[in-house]
Amino acid sequence: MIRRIAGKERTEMTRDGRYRLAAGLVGGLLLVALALGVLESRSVRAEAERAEEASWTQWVEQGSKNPHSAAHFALYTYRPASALAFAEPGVTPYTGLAVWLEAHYQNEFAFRPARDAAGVGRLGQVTAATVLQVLLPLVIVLLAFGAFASERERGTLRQALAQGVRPRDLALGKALGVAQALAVVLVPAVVVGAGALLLASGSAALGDGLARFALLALAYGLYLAAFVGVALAASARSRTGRGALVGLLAFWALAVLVLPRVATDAARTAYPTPSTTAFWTAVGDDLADGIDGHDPSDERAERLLQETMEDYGVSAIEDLPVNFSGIALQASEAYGNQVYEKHYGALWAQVERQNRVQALAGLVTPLMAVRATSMGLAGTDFAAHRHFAEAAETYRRDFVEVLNADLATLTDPVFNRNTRGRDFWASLDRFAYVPPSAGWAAQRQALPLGLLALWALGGLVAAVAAARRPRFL
Amino acid sequence: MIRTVLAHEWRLLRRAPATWIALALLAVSIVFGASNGGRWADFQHQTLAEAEAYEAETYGDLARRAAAPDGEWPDPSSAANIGMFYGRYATLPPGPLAPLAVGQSDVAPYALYVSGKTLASTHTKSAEELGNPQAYVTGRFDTAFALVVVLPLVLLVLLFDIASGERERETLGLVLSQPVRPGTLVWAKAGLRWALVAGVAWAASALGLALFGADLGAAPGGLALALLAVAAYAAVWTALAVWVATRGWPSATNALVLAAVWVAVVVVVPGLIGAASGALEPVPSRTHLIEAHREADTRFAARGGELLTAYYDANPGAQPADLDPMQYDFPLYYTARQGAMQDTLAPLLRRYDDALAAQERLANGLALLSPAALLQNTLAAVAGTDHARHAAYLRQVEDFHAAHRDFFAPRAYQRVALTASDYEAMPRFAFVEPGAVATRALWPLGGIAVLALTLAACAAPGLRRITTH
Repeated sequence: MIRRIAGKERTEMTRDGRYRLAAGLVGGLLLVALALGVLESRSVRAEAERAEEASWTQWVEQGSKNPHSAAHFALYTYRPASALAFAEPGVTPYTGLAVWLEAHYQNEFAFRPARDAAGVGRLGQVTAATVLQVLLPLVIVLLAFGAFASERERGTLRQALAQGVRPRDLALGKALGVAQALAVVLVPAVVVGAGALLLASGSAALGDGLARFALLALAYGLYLAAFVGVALAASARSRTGRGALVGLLAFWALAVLVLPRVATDAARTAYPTPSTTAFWTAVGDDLADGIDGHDPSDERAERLLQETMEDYGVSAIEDLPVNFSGIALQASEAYGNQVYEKHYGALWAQVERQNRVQALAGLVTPLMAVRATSMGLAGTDFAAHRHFAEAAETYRRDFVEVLNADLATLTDPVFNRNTRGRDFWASLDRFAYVPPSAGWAAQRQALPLGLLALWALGGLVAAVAAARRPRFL
Repeated sequence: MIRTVLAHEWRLLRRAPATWIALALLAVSIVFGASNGGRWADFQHQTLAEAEAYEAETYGDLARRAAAPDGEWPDPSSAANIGMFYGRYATLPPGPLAPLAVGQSDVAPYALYVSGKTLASTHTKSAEELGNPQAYVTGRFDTAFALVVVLPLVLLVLLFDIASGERERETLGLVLSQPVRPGTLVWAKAGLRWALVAGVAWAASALGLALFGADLGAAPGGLALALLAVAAYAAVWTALAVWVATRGWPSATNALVLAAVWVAVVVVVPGLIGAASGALEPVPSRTHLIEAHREADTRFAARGGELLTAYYDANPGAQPADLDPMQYDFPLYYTARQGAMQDTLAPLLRRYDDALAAQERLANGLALLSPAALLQNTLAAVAGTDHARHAAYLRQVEDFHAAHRDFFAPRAYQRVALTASDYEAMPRFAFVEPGAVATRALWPLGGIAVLALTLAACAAPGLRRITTH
């Protein structure tokens, strides 16, 4: 019976010119967005790989110099593009594209792509994720607002129920009908998306990419199901089709455009992050005066000198069998690392608190839940960015430590005569980033995925319940 | 007759809770938006104050020590050391109406630390704000968002059934049996709703901006432009709803058509404008800037002596008697090297600015396709968060960087000791507003007005055909 109802709904909808127009426009836009995304992320990926290689070549070919000068020149590393960024760029436009891994500084990523784009585009980005999150729910409203209401207005609802159709079957059948009509838009997009994924990921990462893709499909499925449920429930409970439509349009506008910004700004206000200036002033103060404010850097250096001389049993710095600069630089590096852990730790904890509030806002609007999951599974959320930033920072620390240790072995009193060249630069380990697995990403999405499941279930239950007690007038 | 229609309409609207809910939603959105915009402007003011405090302390200390040398590092009289390892913040202060629109101000740098190092290095380090990238994805709820996105929604809720609603309630025949033309009736109903929404938007904007730190008195012209643009934008939607009303569709169809147009105008077309301008006028990847910087660094790394010699050859009499340019001197070599790198990199940096300006020009032209994009551009221009003002800032930063270098580098090369009075004379940055806001805001405003008139003209002929069935 459910299938027969679904078939009737589908036939009715697909014969409707409004549906054909909307499906054509939205489906077309989805394909355009996918195509643009594939082109963009291919060029970004190629550029990052090229620049990463160039950075290493520049490091190796920097000429002969003191290892500490080299540590200042150091390396840049470029953020690798996630395989699914073509569909969901997430934070990519809003995080810098490269980070300088130099001595003394845990730098922030520089050059946000959003800065080099026209501002007006931020009103609505043309990405597959935006089409799925914002426009498809509107299509659902269009498809479903009249599902019960128009039958009621025509008087066929009474007839159907009088013939013994179970209200549950009626609701589920109509839901299935809407889903089948949506499939006309979604199936081509999924095929194109899967094809783009195959092209974007190497064979090694393919399994991981497909797992992420499947979970993404599930998340969006739940998201769209929630809208189908809500729309059918509203259709069954409203007195008129017009009432159902206006109510649903208001719900849609609030859910996809208004409430997300409210939640984001509320999270920002509740858990503010410092300005760049304040952040670096605080870092500078801690480096100079000590993390507790009572251990100035010159006293730390003096203490280190005394300890080092004691270790080697000498009483003058000139008598040390090692270059004290290397030891002092590494000690200050180690101290700096603690300072950075404190400040970046606090900053990132605050960002994560904001993101938790944003994900929790999924209780109020499913969009916030699907947005969090979508970025998370695509590997383009803050957590993925942080994963890369931390890996790069670990590499920077090891890299600088190797250079300092080497400097300690070079004992000419003249700075510029303690040099190394090409072979030494080339002998250092390269940064090899291993992105987190699909499992790592998925386990972080328990909350938003759970909320989406709740919305989908709640929507369908509401639709069935509303169908049990439909208004007849 | 029109007064009777208006009086009756007002009575009906006044008694409908939906009217008040919709208007309250709009007012609250606008004031909430102003609070968010105001918070962001306060944040920037705070940064500016922090930067100023840092400079006052740092240069105060140095100037005091220059007056009474104590032999401690750094030597405050060394032009090479002070010029290279100390800098000044070149800051872009938020405009008086900043809470109106955040615009691009949250992704573009506004407190650049300028020293004798290359201008490119200023842009690579700590130029951008920290903060939560995931929050940027959703965007800010500022006044501009309330006006561009929420206002048309509220207006359309009040307008979508002005004729069809009466037809469906079967009151249209009754009303048209009175001596009133259908056109007059529809325009009066629509005009009243337009005036209500525009009035609430004006009042809430003025109130919200005044409450959350905007200086309305400092920019009365800008405020007037913004309010005019809002009224014109509301007129666009009103005219559209009137045109839809002339088609004779049922209310449900009207609602669907208007919602579809709304999402197209507010979300889809601006997104497409962004994508198209990015594709047709791309800004080259900044990876090239990073690479060119490092390449220049390596190229000039071992050539300090050579660069110094060239300087002294070109500036006879500049070379101090006891200075051998080939004798390694880190601060001096560093000054020479950064200067040479700057000369190499300046054209490249400008190319990014030019590319961005071209992209913005194209996007501004394409904005004619969407009144939402036009209003966004007008509000950003009035708020001072548009591309043009930021581009002017970057040009001034470039000039300031040159002035800083012209002050320090010759003194370094000639080994002139900096005195307390030199500390007074050092160049400082003060942003100069680029031209009148009106020149930037007028043409998008004109675009909105033309759109409103065009739509109204399209709607007019159909009004006579409004019938009861």
